[in-house]
Amino acid sequence: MSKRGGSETRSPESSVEKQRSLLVRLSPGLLGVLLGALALGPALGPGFALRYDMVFVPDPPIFRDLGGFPRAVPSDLVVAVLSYPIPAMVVQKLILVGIFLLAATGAAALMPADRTAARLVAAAFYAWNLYLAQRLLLGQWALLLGYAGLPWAVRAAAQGGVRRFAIALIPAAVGGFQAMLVTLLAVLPVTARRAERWRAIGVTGTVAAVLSLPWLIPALRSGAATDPAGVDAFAARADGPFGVVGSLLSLGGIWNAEAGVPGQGFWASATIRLLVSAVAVWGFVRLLRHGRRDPALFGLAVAALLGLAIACLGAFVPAVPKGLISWWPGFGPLRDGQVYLAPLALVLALGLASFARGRIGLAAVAVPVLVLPTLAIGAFGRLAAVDYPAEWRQVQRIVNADPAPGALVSLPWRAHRVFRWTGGRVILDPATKLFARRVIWNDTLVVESREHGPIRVTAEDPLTRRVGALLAGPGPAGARLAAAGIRYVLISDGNENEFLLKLQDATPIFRGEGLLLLRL
Amino acid sequence: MTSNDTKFRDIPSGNFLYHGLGKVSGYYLDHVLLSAHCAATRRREKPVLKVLVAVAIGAVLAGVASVAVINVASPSLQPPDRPLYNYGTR
Repeated sequence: MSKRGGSETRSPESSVEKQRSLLVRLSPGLLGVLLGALALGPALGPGFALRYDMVFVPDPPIFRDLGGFPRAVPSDLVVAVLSYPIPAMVVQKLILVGIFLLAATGAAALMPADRTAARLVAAAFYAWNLYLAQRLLLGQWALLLGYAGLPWAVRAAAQGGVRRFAIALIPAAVGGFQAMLVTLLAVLPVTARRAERWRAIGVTGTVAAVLSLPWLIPALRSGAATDPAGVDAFAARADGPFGVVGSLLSLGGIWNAEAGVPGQGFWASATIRLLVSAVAVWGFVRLLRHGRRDPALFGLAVAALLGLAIACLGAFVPAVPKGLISWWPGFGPLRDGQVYLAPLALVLALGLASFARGRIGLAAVAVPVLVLPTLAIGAFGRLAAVDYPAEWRQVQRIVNADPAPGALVSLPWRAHRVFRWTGGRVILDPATKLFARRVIWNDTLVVESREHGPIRVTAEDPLTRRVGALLAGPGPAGARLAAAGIRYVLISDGNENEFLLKLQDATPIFRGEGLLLLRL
Repeated sequence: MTSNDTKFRDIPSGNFLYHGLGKVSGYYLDHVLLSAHCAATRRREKPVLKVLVAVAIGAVLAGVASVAVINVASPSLQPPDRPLYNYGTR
């Protein structure tokens, strides 16, 4: 190593050392981008990656009349604003790759700067695990923003400082209520462990509350109801050979079988995943034994245990979350308990990374990919990019150009759609995000249970329930819908005959191969 | 262990957050990792054995990963996504 002189001359060794140090510093980020590219694969091609809740649309309107329960607030607004100068499909890809980048760098940042192997193993595990994979396949990118920002939030909470914490909370704030709740679960125990406990909790709570206002205010004003049946539909389930607890400890256990990573139930893979989790827990306990006073480590341990307990609630004592939701709908987020495993994922990442030392430790970077190889290439085709047929854009232009007020009802009266052009993938009705005016859609969620048959989780939006009753009533519904403030009806999926009898007075405005737009 | 001993001595005995988590993660956690490592490797290290164990673990992981990929990639009668209008299946 050469000495630093006033002449700013450096030897070649110094320059190489500097470049190497830069590469080491950037390596978690580069690894995150690499893992993101590998996992997303075909979804990074031209078009939109559409799957379940992940619905991005071309030219999303910035000023939308959302009404009802704030489901995608403020994530959809942020996407709409970003899509003004950049094409929406590019925005989606940047967000998806950004999730992997943020997750990898955040986990790495919690490890010592000079432990390259440990940083990279933490980065790889946190950016490539079953939790992230299943939530990605369920299309919950907004939640994953919170997941990706969680290590940064934990780090900032342990360090203290309002500005630092507020910045670290931005991904969760953009993600919305689920992302924020998952982050708070991890952050509050960390702050509670700090020396100036009550002040720290006050600051954390205030910052989180301010950043939650975009969804908190509309949620409180929406008059939305939460159906306790959601606990039966969304409780954690066994998605491998080791039961619910084994699935949860492996960071799986999502309620939706369709969101599983292909081949994840293969007994050998499931066994290895559980063994890796056990080793990682051992590693974290070892860290904790030597660092009991570290607020980040202790807080994360508490958060991981709490998260696991919440995830088990719906599966083993469903009466508890059901009772809480019946008492106050605000407990609704407890119904999908598996979501709170995010702190456990970080605990396992740090625990596994604690073993990584030297060159052999560096090789452990491959372990997360080897224990879940089928997440690669868009989970073997589960994620892919498709483009909207031209008729969707035509309908969007017609409706958004009309200055007359009135809502749009989207039919068929179901929340989810399967189109040929999505490659048979189930997606949330794209009409919910295409138009500037209020869109009334049936937010009743239907989940097929192998044990109980179809579970219907009743609509949360009161206006939806009213329009649903009008549509289900006898005789023509056109006049009644118009009286309820509806101006347009959009029928997708080509099954228009079912509805035209009820809407005889309506004027067809646009008829395409798979879309019919009516004005009342 | 001399350099490590120096690091142990330098750890502040009271508030570990004195220098912020930049030090906690880069310094205190360093200390935590170091002490955990020392506790786990008090016996004399055997590098060759470590390499052999790592290679064996790697071979098992790669073998299982290959079988998992072949299982998924092989032609299947069912399409990857069944066309459902439901939110999903439990």
